[in-house]
Amino acid sequence: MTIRRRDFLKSLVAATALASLGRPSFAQPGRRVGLGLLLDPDTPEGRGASLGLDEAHRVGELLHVEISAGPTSEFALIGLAAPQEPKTLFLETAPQATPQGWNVTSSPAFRQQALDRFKGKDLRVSDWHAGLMKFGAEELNVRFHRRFGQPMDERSWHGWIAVKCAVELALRYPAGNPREQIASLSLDGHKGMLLNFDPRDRHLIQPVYLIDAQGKLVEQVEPE
Amino acid sequence: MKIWMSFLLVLLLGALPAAAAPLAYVTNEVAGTVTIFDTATNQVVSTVPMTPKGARPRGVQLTADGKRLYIALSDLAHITKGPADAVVALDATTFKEVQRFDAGTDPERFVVTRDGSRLYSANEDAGTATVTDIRKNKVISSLIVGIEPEGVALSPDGRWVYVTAETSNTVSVIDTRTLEVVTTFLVDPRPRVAAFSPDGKRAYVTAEVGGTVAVVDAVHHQVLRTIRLPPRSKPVGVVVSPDGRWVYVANGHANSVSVIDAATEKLTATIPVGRRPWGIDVTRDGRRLYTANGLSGDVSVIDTASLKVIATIPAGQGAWGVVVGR
Repeated sequence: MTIRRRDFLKSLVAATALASLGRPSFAQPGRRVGLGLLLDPDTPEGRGASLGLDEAHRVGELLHVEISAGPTSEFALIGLAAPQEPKTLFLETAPQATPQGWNVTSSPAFRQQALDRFKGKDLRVSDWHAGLMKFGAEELNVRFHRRFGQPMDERSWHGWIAVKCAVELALRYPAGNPREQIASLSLDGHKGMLLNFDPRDRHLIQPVYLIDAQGKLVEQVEPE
Repeated sequence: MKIWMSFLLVLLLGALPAAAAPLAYVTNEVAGTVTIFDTATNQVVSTVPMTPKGARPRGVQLTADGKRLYIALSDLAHITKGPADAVVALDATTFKEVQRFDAGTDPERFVVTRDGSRLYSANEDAGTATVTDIRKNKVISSLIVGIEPEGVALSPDGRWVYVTAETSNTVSVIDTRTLEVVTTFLVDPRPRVAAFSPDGKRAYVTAEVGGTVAVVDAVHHQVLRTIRLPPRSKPVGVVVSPDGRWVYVANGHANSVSVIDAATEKLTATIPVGRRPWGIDVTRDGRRLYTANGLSGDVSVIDTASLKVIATIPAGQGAWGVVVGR
C-alpha cells in the first residue's frame, strides 16, 4: 500500500506540474492485476513464465497497469493442470487437457496430423524451436538464452505464452471476465500468425514444428 | 525580329539546366549496399557499399532539404550490439559519407527532425529509443519504450515521435520538447510502422500479425478505428500520399500493396508487387509509389493513377527500405 500511495502522490505532483505548464497531460489511472503462478521456477515452464512476467512488468509500466504474480489469483492461474472447480481462468502449460483449463499447447490431434504428413521420417513434433528466426522468434530466443543461459525449448515457450495470454486479457479487456474473454482472444506468439483458443478442445491453435533426431528443425505445419 | 527573338529564347531555354528528376535510395540489408536510381529513367546510377564490411543497412531517410541521406546500420550477424551499429549520413548527391552517429544498439528505423538537429532511433534489442544530437554528435537521451521497438515516425509539426514495439503491441509517444514518453497505447499484434497524415491529425500503424492498420487520433494519441486487411496480408511499410487522400501499405509476406482511401478508411485496391515488399515511399507529386522488395531484391514502381506496376528496378539482395528524393 505504501508503494501505491507514493506512486499516486508522485503522479499527482507530476500531473499538477504538467497542468501548470499548460502541456497536455496523457496520464492514465493505474490498475492492478495479480496472476497466480503455480509453476516451479526451476522447470522449463517456470523459466518461460518468469521471462513472460518480466516483459509483462515492462508493458504494464508503460500502460499504467501493475502486474504481479503470487500463488493465488482471482484473475488467472497458470500451471501444469487445472485444479478441480477453478474459480478463475486456468491456463494449462502441459498437454494433458482437463475440462476446466485452457491449454496453451497444440492439440494432440493436430500434433498427430502434422506427424502423419511426414510418416517414416523419424521426426518429433514441437510447439517451439530455439532456431526459429522469423516474426520476432529470434529475438525471443535471444532474450530467453540471455536470461537463463540455455535455449528456449517447447516447455519454456508454453510458460512464456501462458503468461502472455493472461497479460493480453488483462490489458485488452480491462473490464471483462477473463474466463469469458479467453475464447475471443487473439495474440502473437512469434509464430507468424494470430493464435486463438479452439473452443471445442480448449487448445491453442498454432503452427507446429517437426524436428529430426539431431534436433534440427525440418518442417513447419500450420493449422488450416 | 520576331524570328530572332524566338531563336534567342530557344537558345536560352536550352542553356538552362533541366529540372533534375529526384533520385531514390534503397537500402539492401543482405547485400550491405545502397542502390540509387533516377526516378525519371528508372535506371540505377550507383550502388554504394556500406562500411564496415558486414554492415546491414535498413532504415533510410533524407533530411528535409534533401541534402543528406541518413542510413541505419547494424550487424547482420548480431541482433544485439555489433561493431557496425550507427546511423551514417551520406551526401545525397556525391554519396560519400559525411558523418557517423551513435544511435544506440542495433538501430533499425529512425527519424531525423525537420531542422536536422536530432535523430530518434529505435533500438530493438535494448527496448529503447535513442535521441542523438546531430550537431554535437552525442546521445542526449535513451527512453524506455515497448519491447522490441521498431517503427519511428515524426508528426508533421515535429512535436511527437511515435515508436511502435512489436512484442508489447504498443505505440509509445515521445514529446520532442521534453524528451519524455507522455503516453503509450495498445494496437493490434506485432505493430511495425507508423506514418502520419500530412495535416498531423491522423497516424496509421500497421500490425503485421494482426493483419490490420490502426487509424490513430494523432492529437489525443488514441486508436479510433482498425482497418482489417484481407487474410494473410501481413502489413509492414506504410506511407500516406502527400495530399493525404491515400494510405499505401506494403504487405511483406503477401507480395502486395494495399490502397486505402483515407476518407472512408476502406480498402480500394490491392496491387501485386515484387516478393516481400517492406519499405514504401511516394513521390512528392503523389504520382509514383516505390516498394523495396527483399526476396526479389528489386523495387516495384507503381503508377498511382492506374494502380499498376509500370517498372521493376534491380536493387540488391534483401532490399529493405526506400526513400524518394526532393
